[in-house]
Amino acid sequence: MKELRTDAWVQWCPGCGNYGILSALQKALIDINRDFSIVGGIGCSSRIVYYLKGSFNVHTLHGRAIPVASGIKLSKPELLVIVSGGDGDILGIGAGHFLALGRRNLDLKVFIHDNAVYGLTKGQAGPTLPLNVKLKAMPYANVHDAINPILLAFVSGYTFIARAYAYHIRELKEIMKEAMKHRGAAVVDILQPCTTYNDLMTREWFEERIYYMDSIPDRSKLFEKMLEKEKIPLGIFFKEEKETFEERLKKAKLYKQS
Amino acid sequence: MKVDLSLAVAGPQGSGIESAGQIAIRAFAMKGYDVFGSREYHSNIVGAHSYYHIRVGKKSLKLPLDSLIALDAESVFTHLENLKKDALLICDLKSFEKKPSNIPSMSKALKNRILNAYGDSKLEEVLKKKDLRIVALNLKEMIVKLSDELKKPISSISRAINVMGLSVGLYLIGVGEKTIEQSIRRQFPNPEDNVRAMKIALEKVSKIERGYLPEIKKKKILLSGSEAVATAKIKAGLEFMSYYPITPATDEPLFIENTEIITVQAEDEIAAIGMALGASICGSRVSVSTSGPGFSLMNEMISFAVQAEIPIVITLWMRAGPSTGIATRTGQQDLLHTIFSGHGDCQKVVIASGNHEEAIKDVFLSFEISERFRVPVIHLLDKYLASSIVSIDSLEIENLFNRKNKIITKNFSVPQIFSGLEHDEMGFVTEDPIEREKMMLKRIEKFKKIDEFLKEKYKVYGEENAEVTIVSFGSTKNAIIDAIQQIDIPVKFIQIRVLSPFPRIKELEGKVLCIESNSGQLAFLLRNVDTVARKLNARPIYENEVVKAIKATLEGQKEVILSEGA
Repeated sequence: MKELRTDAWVQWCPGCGNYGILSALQKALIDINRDFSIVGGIGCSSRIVYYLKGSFNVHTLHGRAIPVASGIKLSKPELLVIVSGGDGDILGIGAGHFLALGRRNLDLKVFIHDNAVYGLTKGQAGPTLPLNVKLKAMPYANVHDAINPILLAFVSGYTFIARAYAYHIRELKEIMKEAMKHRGAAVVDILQPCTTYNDLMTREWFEERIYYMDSIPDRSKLFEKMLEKEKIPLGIFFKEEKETFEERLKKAKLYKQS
Repeated sequence: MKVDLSLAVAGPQGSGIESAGQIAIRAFAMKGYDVFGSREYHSNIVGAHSYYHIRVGKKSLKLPLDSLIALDAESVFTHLENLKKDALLICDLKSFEKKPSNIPSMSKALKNRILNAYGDSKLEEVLKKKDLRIVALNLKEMIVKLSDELKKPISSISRAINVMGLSVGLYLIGVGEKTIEQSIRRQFPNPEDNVRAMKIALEKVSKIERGYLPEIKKKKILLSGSEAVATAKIKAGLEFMSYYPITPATDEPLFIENTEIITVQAEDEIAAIGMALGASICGSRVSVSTSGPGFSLMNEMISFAVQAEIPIVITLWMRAGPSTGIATRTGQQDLLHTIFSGHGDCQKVVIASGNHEEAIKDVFLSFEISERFRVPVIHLLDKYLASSIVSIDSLEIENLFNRKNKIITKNFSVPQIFSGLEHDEMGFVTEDPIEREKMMLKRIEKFKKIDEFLKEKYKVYGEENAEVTIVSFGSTKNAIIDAIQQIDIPVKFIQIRVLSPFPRIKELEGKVLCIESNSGQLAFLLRNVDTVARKLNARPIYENEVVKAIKATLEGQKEVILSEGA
């Protein structure tokens, strides 16, 4: 198991949800046993690219992990390409790219380290922080409303959508593996406490609310599940087989030639 | 006999004027002439005035015009002041009745200029004040005849008036009927209606005295700047291209999209360059293509490519700014923007091509520099080159494109991780002061090596002991070279090819004249300049304007504004 880890010092705060995600990702990659590449944006979470030995790991710019990962996947289709980024990175500054990836259904795995807060800049509101919530480093309560990553992924066209919890390493690993096995754009929204700056959504707060869905929800119940707020459902919300971007491109080029 | 002709083929956008211009350019090339045709158009789909400005015998543009083929009144009014004495004007009889006040598509500014000069008079009255050879065609009668012969409604064949007017123009200039017909046949997949239109038109002018153009036995190939660069990229072994649609850059990636090369239309320019960098990280030969506004968005990624040492060729087709500016018109306003693009000591290469032939060579050079030194290269071009068509000798074409095996890329060691953060040689993050300094010095040294490697950073043309030395860059080249041959004092021309790393120029002699299509950016870089000639009206620089600038320099003027063009 050790051979996937680099010797870089892991520099997250004690108790950070990222440790759980790193651990689950490492286990999932070992099980899947494929050549992989991890692309990160900017933020605490994106540092994960330095900790696991991928073939082409990239620490790119804030919000831009998806475009760079797309180029890698199109250039090396045999690679398992993973995007790791925070909610600020993927749903804030990089939201346009997140949406475009759904439309393409390119075979990338997007793992959102979702802690509702900008950690490295010391505690500003992230795009998944609910309206009117005031965290300890904020001057006043949040004046933006929260994005629902699951819904956004659905309307964007992602063909695999799941939610997981950073401290449940075993379950998270299984969901990550499902995402990796899926052919097409997959997103896993990983709920993650930020022990330093998010004094609302703590371990206790999450663990009082989360529960696992028994199975992938029926289409008729899908929106209800996606919108659920009091209790937070975990697991796979949606899964669909659809032509990937690589396949569409190939087909279009062949059509053009004939 | 040395042929040197300037003409314009003008009309409303979307009416077939582009085809007419191309037929004309091809016809001259088929006769073996050097030809250059530049397309001027509005940011509009249908109805606004557009034209091809064509030069036969040379590959730059010159005013005034020897001939104008203008099939609506607006076109005649637009180019009226650019016609030589005794110029040939082919127009529609119907246009004679038009006054500026009843041409709704004409811009207010032009309308006011005409009203000030001539009042709101009929075109016929205005033309009486000019010494021109006017051939007014009864296009309505001709189109009715065509409609009768083909048994097709007028509405379905009305675009043939362009072919009618154009054929008459070409014929009177001295192009034979056979050549015109061949060029028409090559233009349209189903050319018969247009060939018939040409015959009807030529019957009407068979008795008019016409010019003479001797045949030259030379095979010419026609290429637009967009096609030239796209083809060069394909020949150079491009493997991945991404772009976001923007005028005037998009024709080039669209050409590539039609091949097997992976081409992706991204969601914005940031994604376009991000994808290309991702593919480059995996070892693909990559490029993106954009214009000024898109390049603004790409800036953060240029800095990333410098820091993470990722090769990429960024083709920048400049257009008139600032901001959205005039999307369909030319300029050289992004010089400083490219040289200084990217934050944080972001040293990258900028190469500017002077014409189509150089643009082809520079594509190969850009890939080589980019991959050899793992650095972004910005290939600086402009709208004028993108949308102008030029003839190139068929033998030269082969040499130009057959350069792939000349791209020698050093087998660089690549890091384990590609990082935008400061990192050590392996790509791992570091904030250590000694390591940081080492990496800064590595990038600085690399740029020095690039500087040494790029042997020909500028080219010197013209004469020794010059009274005037012109310094310029980019697409002004052909106009300057043609102009200094016209003038009888010794003039030297220094064409800067590599703008970053910026060269130290040794050959400055006499008075220094800087010519550029911007507020004076090159002059700012050069500092010791006697005269700055600036073009600010978003039109190309013409040969005759260069002559004017040289004279102004000799007279001691500090600044000249070049204002010609419609």
